[in-house]
Amino acid sequence: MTTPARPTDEELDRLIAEAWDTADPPPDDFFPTLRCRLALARPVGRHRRWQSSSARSAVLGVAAVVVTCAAFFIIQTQQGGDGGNSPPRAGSGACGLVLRYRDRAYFGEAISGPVAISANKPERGQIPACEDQTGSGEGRSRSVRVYKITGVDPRIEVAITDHSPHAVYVQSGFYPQDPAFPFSVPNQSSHCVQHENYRFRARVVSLGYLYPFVVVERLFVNANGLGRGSRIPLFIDRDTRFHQAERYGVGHLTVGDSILVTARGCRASGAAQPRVLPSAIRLISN
Amino acid sequence: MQAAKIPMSESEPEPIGYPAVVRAATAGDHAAFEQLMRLHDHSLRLLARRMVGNSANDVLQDSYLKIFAKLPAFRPDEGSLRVWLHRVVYRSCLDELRRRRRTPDPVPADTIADAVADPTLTIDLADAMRNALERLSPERRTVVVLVAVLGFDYRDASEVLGVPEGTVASRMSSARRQLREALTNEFEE
Repeated sequence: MTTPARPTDEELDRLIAEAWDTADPPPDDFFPTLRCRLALARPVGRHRRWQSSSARSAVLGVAAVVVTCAAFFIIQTQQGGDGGNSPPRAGSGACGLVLRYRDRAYFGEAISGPVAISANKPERGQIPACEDQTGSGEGRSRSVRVYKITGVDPRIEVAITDHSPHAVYVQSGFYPQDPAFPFSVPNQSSHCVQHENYRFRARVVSLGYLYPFVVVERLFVNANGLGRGSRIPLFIDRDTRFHQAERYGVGHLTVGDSILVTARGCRASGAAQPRVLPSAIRLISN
Repeated sequence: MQAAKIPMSESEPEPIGYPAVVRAATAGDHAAFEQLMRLHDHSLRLLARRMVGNSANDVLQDSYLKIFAKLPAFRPDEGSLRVWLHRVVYRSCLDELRRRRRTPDPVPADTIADAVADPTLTIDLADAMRNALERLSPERRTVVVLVAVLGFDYRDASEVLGVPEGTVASRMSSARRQLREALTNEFEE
């Protein structure tokens, strides 16, 4: 090893970044706590008079949130932490954007245009409580009718029409690429130029809403802009090939998956750093 | 070996879907706001961790609530959202430091040790860098995090800190000099 007796600025900055570009992920209860605090922070100052029905509704709404949040924290306490590696519980995602259906979590995506809904009788699904503070403010879960979409496996996508027509929900961890799906992953490489190639091993730590987040564990090709331990989003698009990481014919990842990623950097005009667009994702273990 | 840098989600332009998330969050959508903060959390957490140590979670909770309250007033044409978010967290960290009326907690040794597990680095260098970083003043430490770790340029760092660009450059230069001297001393002893 070269003794860094007089490292250049670049060498010094590199050493600093390597030493400090790590941070513990947020604890499991961080965002649920924030969610509840946001709900409790809903302004009620203008409704000073209890006699006012709107004031009463507001106070009752806050009370319901308190109960919901208290219940959440009790559940969290009983379940204990597992370092953030557990699969996302239905209810741990974004409120209003998450649907629980047949014990699975789905992420919602509004789409334009009609969806061909199956004529079969709809089943019931739940919009989880603590996550649903935005619209109704009722602080309790909401039951919705879940429709199968004609020609689409309901384990991948379903639709609900109760509150937002043509809202399609995609099961967490699935990345439908075929444009025939009502929702399919977008083209992520538009308006940017290819920058460089990467090949690295990574672990899936979060499935996110639009893309999974991974932690880079080992770099094989080109470390520029990527560091071991970096937490990055993978911009899966229609060109991404999945190897051993498919389910029901669709690209699929779960939290904890160890994957080998071949990717290219895609730098948009003015961007400080490129997006990582995986051309291939190979499942190593899960 | 290349520098480890911030997640690419922090760069401009943002991922597809990002503008819609920002719009919804600005309109008061809690779900979109959470999504937005999850996207920036890693970078903001790094900054808070280096400034206030183990109080980072508490400071971030308060910061995110402030951000939610102030987001509707944010004007995209007046600057980058990323810079603005970091500025809010930075000021919250300052408030925390003022409240404590003492210097921030030292960076835990295990954080550094994990980060420098690269085989091309020896433990001596890792130790030397860790010790040197821990001895930086809070002002220099913050500039180092913004510039060397999070990849801010001097202009954006100056906006986060609310100081002139020249001050950022000066602090960065002083920090590098201090770190360089510390490393030199370490290896000459």
